Amino acid sequence: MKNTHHISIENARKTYGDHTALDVEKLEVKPGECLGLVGNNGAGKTTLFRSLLDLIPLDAGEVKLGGLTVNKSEDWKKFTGAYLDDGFLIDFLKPDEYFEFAASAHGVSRDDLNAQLSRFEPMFNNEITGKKAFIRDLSMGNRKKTGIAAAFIGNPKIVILDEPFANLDPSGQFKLREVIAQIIAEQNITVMISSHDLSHVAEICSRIIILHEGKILKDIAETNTQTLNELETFFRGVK
Amino acid sequence: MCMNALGLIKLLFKHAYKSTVRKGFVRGGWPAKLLVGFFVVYFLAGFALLGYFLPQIAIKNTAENETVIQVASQFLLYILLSDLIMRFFFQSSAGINIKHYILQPVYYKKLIHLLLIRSVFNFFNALLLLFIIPFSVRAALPEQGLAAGVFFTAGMVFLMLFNSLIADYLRRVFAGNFKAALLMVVILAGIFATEMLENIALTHVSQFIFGDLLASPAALLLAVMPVLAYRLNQRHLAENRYGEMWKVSAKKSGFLSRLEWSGKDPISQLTAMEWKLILRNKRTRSVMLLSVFFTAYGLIFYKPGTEVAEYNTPMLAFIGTFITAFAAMNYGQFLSAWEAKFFDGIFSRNIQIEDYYRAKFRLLSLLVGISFALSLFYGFLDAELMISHTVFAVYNVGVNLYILLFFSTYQRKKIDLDAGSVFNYQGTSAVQFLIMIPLLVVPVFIFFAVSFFFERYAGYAVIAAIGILSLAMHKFWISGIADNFREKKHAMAMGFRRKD
Repeated sequence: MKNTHHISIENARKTYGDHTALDVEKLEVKPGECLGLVGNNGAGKTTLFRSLLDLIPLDAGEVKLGGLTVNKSEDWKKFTGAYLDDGFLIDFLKPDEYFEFAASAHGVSRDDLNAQLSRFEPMFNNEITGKKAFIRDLSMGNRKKTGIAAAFIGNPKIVILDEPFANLDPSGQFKLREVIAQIIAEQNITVMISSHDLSHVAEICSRIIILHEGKILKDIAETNTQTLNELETFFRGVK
Repeated sequence: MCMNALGLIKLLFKHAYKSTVRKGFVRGGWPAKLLVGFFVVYFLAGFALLGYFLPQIAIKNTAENETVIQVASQFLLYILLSDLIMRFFFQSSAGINIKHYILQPVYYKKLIHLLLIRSVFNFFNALLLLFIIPFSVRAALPEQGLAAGVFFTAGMVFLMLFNSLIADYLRRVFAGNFKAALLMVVILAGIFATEMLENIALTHVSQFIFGDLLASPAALLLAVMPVLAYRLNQRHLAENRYGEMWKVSAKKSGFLSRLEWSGKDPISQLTAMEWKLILRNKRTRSVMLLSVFFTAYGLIFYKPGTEVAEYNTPMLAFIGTFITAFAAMNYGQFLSAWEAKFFDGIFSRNIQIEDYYRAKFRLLSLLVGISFALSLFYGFLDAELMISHTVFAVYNVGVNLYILLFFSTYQRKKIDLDAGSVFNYQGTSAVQFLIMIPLLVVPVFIFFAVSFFFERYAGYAVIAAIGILSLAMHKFWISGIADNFREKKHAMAMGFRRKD
């Protein structure tokens, strides 16, 4: 499947008072690329992700998804899926109801929805679909699984996930890794993932950048067997 | 931890006090605090004054051989039942969060006692005490002496404690049970109906039970009632200790789930989602319930046997607008803020802003429709009120709903959906007060002016015409509101993300 959807960031700057939260000169994620984003707390990951989705305004610069400037058009929402935090979940719905809500926003039929969700069933471990509990009553891990699966509804060309592996049970983490890898391979989608778990990003992502104090400090264009070592060395050295 | 029982009780009460003061009761900025303060003082003073002056008024209507207490006892059952129902819906029962203490070396049984004792210290009881004490000093003491005064006060306090505890019990047992809540509303409506029909059966029953009891030593026997209610709670809590601790709710919600795919278009989906928001969250549920009660607001102004022509026109317009729009205004003043928790999620989805507002409009007009349908009962007083309410309902949908939608983009404060709504001014800001001017003053003024220079029916015609004309511009209004939203959304999202 041909994908032409880039993520591109140019001269993006965001300051809060005299604190610079984000200062990225240029970042281009090519179609079909899986970009891993690593960095300590306060590195600017959340700011970056929120500005990608036009949830906060940038002080300067421009963000484009699939060639559309995010604060000028809203059509990028048609091919973009994202899960950043609990704030994406409508927590008084049951997971099924939430999936159906997402499906209707993307014009996905019920059969297609079931097909799209079936890819995540191994990760769900029979605890999500068909259950009566509201999302607010699910465990942290199950809430996260619900949000991640919902981000993939409508077969988006661009997917943005913040800390998808945190709070997942061990099996869930491996199964999520598998399903993301599978979807990237089949649909050639553009993905951006952040994680504090270096081994997961090193495994799943073809490219990794290190964000530090709002800036891109390192860009590992081609991950290989040495990448994890390289990352660990870097983070051990950070004061 | 080694601590004697008294020290423990003191500590737990200190925690309860801190948790009350530090969250929940008064949240928000100074305007909200002042407003809450004002209402608290208003109610406390109101009840105290009522307790003080009511005996004086009652004496005038008392027959030769009757005491004020005997007259009061006629209404007691009625008061107790209404009180119970009010408490069932509005009294906040959680006193102490058991989860905080369960891992400490404290016996669960002791925690139950603390939980129950703590629950008695609530706002309802404070109000009632302020009424009961002056009332008995002014009514029982002068007529029947000190002993009777003490018996009466004690009896009333026992009944108050009983209501307080039994309301907690009913809430625990029926929590989240929609049918039970509905039953309560039906009982309440029944009580109102007997009152309206001047069916005096309830007062007879009440006098039979309480007539001579309250001023006699037998009133002390009423102490059995709160003790029984206490035991009932205690047993329930002991039997449901895990349920009480975790409160896992795997509730079924039959008809709501069927709203799914009712229409696959995004607008129906958004509307269905919002109905669920309303019915599945505590604060929104109580807002709606309050709105139903407020339909009775007209009873204060409309009088049986009075023709519409005798009312002054500004008042007619005010009641017409207010009654048919109360639910929509009460809910609509916090539009978007209700969704604060998942605001980011909604607007990174593929949802057209216009569709979002079309869905809100659909929901609010349904609320106006429901209020309007309920308000038609005033037609029994005078058929013209049905015309009046129809006209102002049309105006509300045609004009006021757009105003509400427009001002909703000025919301910057999030709302916690799990908190109750009585004295909860979270999310309240100056916007809520400013908005009342265009919503209420404008139609009142127009109706008054036209009726003054022409006649009342011309006033109705103009109000309805404005509503219909404005409604014809639906598309224009919605796109304007959506554009306004696009400008404000970042500020809204930032406000909603802020923790208080």
